[in-house]
Amino acid sequence: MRKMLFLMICLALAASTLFAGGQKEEAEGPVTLKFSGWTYDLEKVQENLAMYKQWVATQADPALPDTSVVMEDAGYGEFDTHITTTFAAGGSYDVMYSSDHWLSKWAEAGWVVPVEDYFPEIRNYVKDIAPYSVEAMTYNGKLYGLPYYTDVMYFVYNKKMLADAGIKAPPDTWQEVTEQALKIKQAGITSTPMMIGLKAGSWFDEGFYALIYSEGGSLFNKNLEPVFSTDSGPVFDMIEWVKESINDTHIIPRKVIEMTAVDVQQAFKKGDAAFAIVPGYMIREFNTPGISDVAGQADVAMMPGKTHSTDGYSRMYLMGNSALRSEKVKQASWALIEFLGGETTVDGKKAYHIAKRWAVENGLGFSVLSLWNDPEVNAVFANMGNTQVMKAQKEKARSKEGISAPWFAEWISLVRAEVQKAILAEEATSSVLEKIKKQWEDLKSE
Amino acid sequence: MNTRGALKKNIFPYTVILPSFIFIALFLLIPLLYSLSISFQGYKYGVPTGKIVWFKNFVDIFTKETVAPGFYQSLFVTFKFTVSAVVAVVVISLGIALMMKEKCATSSLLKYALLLPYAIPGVVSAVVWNWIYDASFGVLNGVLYKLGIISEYIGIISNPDLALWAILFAYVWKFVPASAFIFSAGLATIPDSIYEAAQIDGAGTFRTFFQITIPSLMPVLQLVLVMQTMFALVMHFGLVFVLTQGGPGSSTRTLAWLVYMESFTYTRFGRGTAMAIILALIMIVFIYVYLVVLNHERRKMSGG
Repeated sequence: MRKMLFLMICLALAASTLFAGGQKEEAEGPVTLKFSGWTYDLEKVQENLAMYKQWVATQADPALPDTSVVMEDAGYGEFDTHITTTFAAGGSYDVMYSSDHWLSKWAEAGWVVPVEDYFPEIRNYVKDIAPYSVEAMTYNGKLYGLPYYTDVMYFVYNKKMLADAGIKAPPDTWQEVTEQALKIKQAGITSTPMMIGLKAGSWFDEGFYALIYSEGGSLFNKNLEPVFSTDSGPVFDMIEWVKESINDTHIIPRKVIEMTAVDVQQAFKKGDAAFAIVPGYMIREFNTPGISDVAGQADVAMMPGKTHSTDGYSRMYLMGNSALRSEKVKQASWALIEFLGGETTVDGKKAYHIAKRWAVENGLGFSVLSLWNDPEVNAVFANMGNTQVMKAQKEKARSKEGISAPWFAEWISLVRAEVQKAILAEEATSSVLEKIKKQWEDLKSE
Repeated sequence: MNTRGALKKNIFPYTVILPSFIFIALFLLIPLLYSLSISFQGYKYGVPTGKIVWFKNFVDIFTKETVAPGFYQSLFVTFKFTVSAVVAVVVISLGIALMMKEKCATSSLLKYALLLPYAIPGVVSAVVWNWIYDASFGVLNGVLYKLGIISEYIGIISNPDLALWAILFAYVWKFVPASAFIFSAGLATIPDSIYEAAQIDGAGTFRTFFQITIPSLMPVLQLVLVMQTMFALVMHFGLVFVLTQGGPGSSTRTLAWLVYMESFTYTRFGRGTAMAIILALIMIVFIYVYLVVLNHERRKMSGG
């Protein structure tokens, strides 16, 4: 028994020595950053991380030789769950992707830290980033990260289909969308002229906000108080419009309830729809021969509606709480965020190298205003659609109201189910709006 | 025998069961107690508030204005699904088992065919069913259209009246084989002589089935019912996750889905765990009822 006790004490001592040694070693020796992102073009992400490793060894100040990054990925749809389970189980990441949906919740839980508190120079970027994107990366007045990509929801249309139906210009109001869609339908061009992804998921939120903003609607004020009417006004009207479009005029197919933005993109590429609301990065494929049946026919119009405003969404790089475990790790983590989302000097050239790479090679949107001055970027976006319209649409984009509330992620997932009931005519729109207003107030009061 | 020898003799049985006990404690007992402790805690945005709230999470589930209606609705959906799934799986699998018992070419073909759904991982089969049900290019729509049953492709999982049944169909396809094999094994234990005696006595097919097959299969039926109820209450989760995400509206929002949402989307681990405990209690009630009712039937049949 004594022998056993002695053995156990020895093992415990050895383990604690090893653990302490590991921490000390990282503070003085090589740094390994834990990075997490969702599964999108991982090959390119790994190339970017390899570039970072080279850059941080020489260019970063202070230079951090022998820094490496280990990446773990999860699907975008499950990313919030992936982060939640990791941190709730006591794990962490030094740097990670985030969507604007999750920042407030993660920040409130203390899983991510405000970069501004440790690297005040991050604020120098504010003047070169679109306001909606800065707003999305800010929580409690503190900037938490830099943009990975940011984009807006666009209204796209098929020029040929409109021309074939004798329509001269894309619609300016939602009433015109209905009229033109009916004309296209009657001409036998397509039976499903209008599409928007309304499957319960985060793309639902972007579409929902885009519709509301287009009519000048508002959900919350600065004090996070609901300001929408439950029986009239833009929020009510837009839900009613979708409901009528699905159930009465049949210009939107019922199947949009099971479609994400990606499914809408596929349908538009196949020529199934004349109009669609999609995130910006999806537009590139519409006019790409070989992968789209409607190549050369797609264009972007301002979002129909009274204000032509739309939803602007942000995906960003954040610093996890484990980055604070040592000064060196903190520096390396900030360097990684800045390399991926900021302006750095590589091969003697100062630029937003990675943001530009995503824009040029993948057509991902960006909120860095100065990137519009880059001819290479402009050339790529000109192929996608009318760049003037795209630029104007971006200027009219608004961040999702209420997103700064830590209960937003919970509330919006309730909204998805409730709004689906309204648009499928399962429940009255006013009753649904009452319910989601009550949910918000209840969550706020907790 | 001296004292030391007696001690050794007494300790031996405990030593034998110790590995099992450690295993059960590590993977069952401790997690169970830990779950219970979580359900008594308050959580805010994924972090424990440090307050013991005792039964508040449970009370909220049943009474809170913004929580209870959703919970009761999911309870209703869960019952609807579970009862339908258990009945469908038991009836179909028993039918298949009876077909497999017949010594013909199709019975062995059936055995191999049955292995297919069983061998495909749950999530993979959910993705395949998602394609089958797809409103734009789904096979099911294609077949119905070709047969002239529908005039245009329809949204199956986007229809609140059809979505749950679509999930049920996919679920039954996946879970019938296991039960069919268990029933098949049960049928193999019934001696042919009993059937032969029944035939000589002039018993027809139905009478043979209800008076010989079913009573003889009672222990197996009990096992299948218990197993299938446990499965039906939770193992539809993958299908809901991939196919509908609880929608359209809340038409497929089952209790298992709600537990997931509460815990990992709303990060209310306390309330989520409390719901999981309620789900486990429902399971226990179901099993208890089966055991009581079927044991009673067995006793009645055996004249005990």
